[in-house]
Amino acid sequence: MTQKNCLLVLANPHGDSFIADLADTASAAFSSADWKVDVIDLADYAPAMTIEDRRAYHTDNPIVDPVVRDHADKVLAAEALVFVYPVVWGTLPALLKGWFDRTMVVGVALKLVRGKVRRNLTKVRKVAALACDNSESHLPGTFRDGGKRLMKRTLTIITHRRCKSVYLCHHYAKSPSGATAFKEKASQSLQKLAAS
Amino acid sequence: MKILLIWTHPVPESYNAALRDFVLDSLRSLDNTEVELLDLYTSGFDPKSPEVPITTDQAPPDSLPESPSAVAPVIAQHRAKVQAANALVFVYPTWWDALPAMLKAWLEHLLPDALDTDKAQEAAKEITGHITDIVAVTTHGSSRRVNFVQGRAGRLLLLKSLRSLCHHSCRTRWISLYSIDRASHKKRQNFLTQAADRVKTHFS
Repeated sequence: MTQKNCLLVLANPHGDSFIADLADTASAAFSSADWKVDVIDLADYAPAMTIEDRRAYHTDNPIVDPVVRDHADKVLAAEALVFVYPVVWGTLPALLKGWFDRTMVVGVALKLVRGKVRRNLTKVRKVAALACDNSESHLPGTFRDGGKRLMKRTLTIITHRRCKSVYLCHHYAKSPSGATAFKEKASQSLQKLAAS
Repeated sequence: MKILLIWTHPVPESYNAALRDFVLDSLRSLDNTEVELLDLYTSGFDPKSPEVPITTDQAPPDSLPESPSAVAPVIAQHRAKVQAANALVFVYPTWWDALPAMLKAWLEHLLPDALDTDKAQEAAKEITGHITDIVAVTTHGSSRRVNFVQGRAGRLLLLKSLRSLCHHSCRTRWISLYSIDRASHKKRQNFLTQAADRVKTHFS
């Protein structure tokens, strides 16, 4: 049996060691279930959509940057997508948001069928997100979903109809001592997802 | 009244640029109003440039870095622009249900960790605590319904999270065109004037 492909997108804008640990945990969980894990580390990634990107966006060939092309090919080959990131301003860090802006375009995330937008990542049956929230205080009235809606809802609009998704967020500042337990929990949860 | 219009779109000949011009003209026609345009893509702001955020590895800083060397000069400049303004008007396209990465990065750099620690909140309020109006003018590829299911992350980030760092009686306004990819030419044309009118009404 050929190995299935898992794509792990790591956004660690501040080089946080706990985020790096979470990426290792996720990678190990999928590897142990006999998946081939490919990692995109966004360390040197330019997140903002460029003028060339945007001018090409509505053409038949919307990806112009070779880095983005490489990422898009990896996404198209994947059967599972895993995201590891810190929560910044209550949601995805700009680094990861920019990866979505630039990579997940028509022809990758979506396709046009007779002028209508349809899902394109029908190979992807598993989505997982491991996040870490460092906030110490909660300002009333702020929006703080840690990217959960994007991971659990928006991605299921574009992936396989029966795609399973897992979203786990650790509130580090509230319980630094719980970090090890969280890694353990994440590992089990992702192993279960990978094996299902 | 001083209004800072923050525009975020890479392409100068885009629909969004037309939207910016309509909103700008309508704001400039108001009495006793000074309008400044900040174009993030040409302002020299680098969405990648490093900041001093809180991570699990280090304790949060006691305050925002004050010395000019610790903050990128362009960020210091932009902070001064925001401090000098009474109102913020954002014109941008909604991508993936949220702000473009450029604008999200700008907020992260302008007010680092603002939602995360009490100290950072106080520091952020030094910059935005006097802002009395937040207006967002944007376009969505998806429909209003799909956007609602997706979670309205962009809308909530500006109208809830950013507002919480502004003046306690800060007013907010959401002006948005949904399903732009399916909208007719006439509808798009109409939205330009509608948006301009609604921004004007908000401030008059």
